[in-house]
Amino acid sequence: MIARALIIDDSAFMRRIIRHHLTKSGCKVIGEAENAAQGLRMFHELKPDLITLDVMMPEAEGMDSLCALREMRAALPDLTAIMVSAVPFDKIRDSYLKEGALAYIVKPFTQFSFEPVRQKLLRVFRQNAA
Amino acid sequence: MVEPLTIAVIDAQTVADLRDEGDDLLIDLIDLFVSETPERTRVLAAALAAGEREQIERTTHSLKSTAATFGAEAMRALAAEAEMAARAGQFERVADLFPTLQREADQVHEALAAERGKIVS
Repeated sequence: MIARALIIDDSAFMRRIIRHHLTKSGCKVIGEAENAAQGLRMFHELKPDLITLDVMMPEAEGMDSLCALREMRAALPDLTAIMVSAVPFDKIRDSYLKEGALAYIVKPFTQFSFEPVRQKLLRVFRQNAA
Repeated sequence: MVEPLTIAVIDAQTVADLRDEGDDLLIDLIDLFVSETPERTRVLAAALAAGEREQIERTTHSLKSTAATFGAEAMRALAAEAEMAARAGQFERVADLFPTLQREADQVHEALAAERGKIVS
């Protein structure tokens, strides 16, 4: 199964880097959004299997990343979510993992720091395909 | 005499890591920097002149992320300080930091242009 991914990040640089790693991991990027509100709209429209969501984006249209994640997971409980963050604090990571995120990755990241995420993605989507 | 500590304009290891992912990725990122950053600094200058808090916060945040992509630590630290000052409503502090931030962004631009030249040649 090829996972269809939506990237939500306010940085065009990070979107390009994330696209690179997801594509390399066998995912198909079907959309990119630059804030949580736009991401939520694209989520409803495109129905991705996987999202990457920047934790620290400036709020837009009254919507932040946590609200968007909760709304997406309410609509699609099986959604695979990878949180992307500049903040390497366990407490914040754990709070997002409790919200159901598959992984929390700290940027800037490389193929080595992305590797555990790639392994998790392989497990999830292999399992779904079986 | 003790040598003064200096910080590289961009981090060689970060750039090498990006290049390891393929020349296309690094070229795209450098081209994004070249096309986006002058516009961002223009927007920041205009937002400072107009006192537009949200725009000042957004632009300084964006410049911080951009700098982090290339390990441009001096630019990142200046943008981060400007972002914090903006959040605290200290626009005068942001305005004080702005010329140095712009100079640093210009230096990063030059360093990245040189990296791009090495890839293309």
